[in-house]
Amino acid sequence: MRLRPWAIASLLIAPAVAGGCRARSTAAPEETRTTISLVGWGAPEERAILREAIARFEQKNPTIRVDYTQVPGVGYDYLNKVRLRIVARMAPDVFYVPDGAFGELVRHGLLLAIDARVAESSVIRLDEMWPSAVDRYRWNGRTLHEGNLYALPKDIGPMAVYYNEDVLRRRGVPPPDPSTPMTWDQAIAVWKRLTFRDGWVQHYGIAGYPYEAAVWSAGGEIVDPARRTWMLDSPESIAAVQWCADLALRHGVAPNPAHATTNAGELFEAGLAAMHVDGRWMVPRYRKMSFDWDVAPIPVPRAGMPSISASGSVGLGISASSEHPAEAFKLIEYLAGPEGQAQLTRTGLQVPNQRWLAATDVFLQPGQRPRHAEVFLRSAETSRPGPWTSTPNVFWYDVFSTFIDQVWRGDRPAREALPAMAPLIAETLRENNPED
Amino acid sequence: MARMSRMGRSQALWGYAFVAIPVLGFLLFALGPMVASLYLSLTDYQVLAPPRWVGLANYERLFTRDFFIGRTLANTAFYLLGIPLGMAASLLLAMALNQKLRLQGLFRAVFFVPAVCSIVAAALLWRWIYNPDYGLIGTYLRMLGVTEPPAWLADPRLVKPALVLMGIWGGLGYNMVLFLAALQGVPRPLLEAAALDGANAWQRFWHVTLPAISPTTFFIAVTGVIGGLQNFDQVYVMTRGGPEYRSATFMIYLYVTGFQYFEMGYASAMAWVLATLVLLVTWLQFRLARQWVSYE
Repeated sequence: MRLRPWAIASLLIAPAVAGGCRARSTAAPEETRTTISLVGWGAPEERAILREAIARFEQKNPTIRVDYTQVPGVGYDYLNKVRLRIVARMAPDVFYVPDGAFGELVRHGLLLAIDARVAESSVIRLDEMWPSAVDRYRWNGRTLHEGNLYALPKDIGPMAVYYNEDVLRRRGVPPPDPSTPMTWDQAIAVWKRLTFRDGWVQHYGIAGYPYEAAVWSAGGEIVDPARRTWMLDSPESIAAVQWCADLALRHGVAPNPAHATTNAGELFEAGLAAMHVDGRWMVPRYRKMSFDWDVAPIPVPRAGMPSISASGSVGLGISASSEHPAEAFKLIEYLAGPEGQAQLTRTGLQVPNQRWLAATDVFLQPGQRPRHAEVFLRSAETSRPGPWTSTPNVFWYDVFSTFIDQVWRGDRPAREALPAMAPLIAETLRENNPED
Repeated sequence: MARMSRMGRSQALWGYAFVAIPVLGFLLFALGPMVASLYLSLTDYQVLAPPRWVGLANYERLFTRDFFIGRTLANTAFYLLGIPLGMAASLLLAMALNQKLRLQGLFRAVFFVPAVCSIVAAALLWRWIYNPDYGLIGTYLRMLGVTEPPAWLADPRLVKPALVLMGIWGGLGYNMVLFLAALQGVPRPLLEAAALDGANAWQRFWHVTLPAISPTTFFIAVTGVIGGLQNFDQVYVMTRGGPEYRSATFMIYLYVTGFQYFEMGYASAMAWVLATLVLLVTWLQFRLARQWVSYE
């Protein structure tokens, strides 16, 4: 008898169906647990620590199960994955919100407002947390960093000057004071002593000085509070930007950032730059370096002025379309609260949200570098979100970054270049961030 | 149509069936998205939110207020200069390799290598060549006494010529092979007749060889311009748009707008403007072809 095609098909499919049914019937009856999804990124070490934190959270909340996905890589890949899931209507319940991407996500209504839940929470107390970390996840419908809260910070990463103690000792330079920032004049004198040529190899005193720290410490601004005007063409800002360019052009203590063949971080790690300004997140990596290092505050223009710099941060946001907002909030409440923060701080790459917690050994980690970790705490007090977080669309910032190379190369002084590019940047800022 | 026999009809049906698949592919993956992008160009579409109708606002912004359009179109036009230069170089190469040389095959293979080279590998190579501190050009200039060799890719005035040079290197082998084939087809009797009439080498080249290979020249010109107007890979991997957008092409600006900032409505409008430009330029080339392209 010839087998008809449908007979063959059913013979092939039947076992699969039977097997599936059997699998489901032997599954444990866990239908009472709610499952929420968490998507984030990070280095493999962070994954282990986050899993432990989640395990503790699940112990304390037996009715909630967290399905954690870590996207490998950093930044760009992660954001695209989250965007795809949102567009496919499969947004994760909880996901990392980098402070630079917060504007775009909140503008399209993709994050849940959490003011009410935070107010009722007994674990989260906003007045304990760094104001700059909390405010950068606010949105009032028109301007970022003000208004309702849409995410809780998972961390804050302030910046400081990392210095290579071995090089300082070799050149007979005393280590900088951890409690008082150097003035610009003192800093240049120190960096000149640390700039030397060793055969074919050039050593620099400083690499990677962020211009926004110079501008803010000098009293200038980058955008106005209403985010409609670009303000880098004020006299203080121009002087600050020119000072940064002069580090390479006039004093020769820094490599020229326009010759971007090696980046500043790599120079510091190779021992070719004695000092380097970077964020707290580099600590786990630098702890593996063979040379001795420590941190100091970022220099200020004149004595007595505050040292203001940018800090990075990642938030924990709840998707506006989440079907389990209460459970999702419990998760971010735990991770952003003192207990979760104590665990996450073990990686060494972040300052915990709670200021009282940051002052304890959980963060200070005595016995591990940096010895003067309190430098980061003082930096966090005065830090601000970076200019790339000021508006939902930051094309104007990219345009500025490419045109500013004229100043770094020395083709035009800042006092000419910055006013000249002001109309274009202001127009790009307004055009791409319409007020609707 | 005359009445087809039964077998004729069944043959025709098989024909349609086989053609149906690529046609379906074209409708689904080419025509469909084109129509969709035309619709999207009339909307404000940020991907994370549904499209919002704005009519011709994107086109109005493109033609009246966009600073980068002018600059990137000017850059794209500059890159088109590389096409006649490249054609001349490949023709010279093809004529040189058309003669009976020893290792002729080896030479042809060596010159063809850039055509099969991945653009990223080529970019790594050329970035190293152009590096002012330890690159090939910088080192030779230093040996000749130049103390500060230029930073080719970081200088707004030098970056485009540098990329044009790299583009010519890349296209040399492919065009050379096409010209080689065309040169084989130059009618020998015509060349001999011209020589007998007293024409020198240059005159034979100009009056016999060039017209004989003009169909290939035309093909290279048309495909070169169509590709050149959409130039993206090379510039993106070399400079990302370069110092102050001096090397950015139209496609790079489109890519950044659409895939970095997700302004898909605006990017779709840009895509349609580019498509219209390509169509216009190609149509112009075909009109002009009647003047100088001769088919036997």
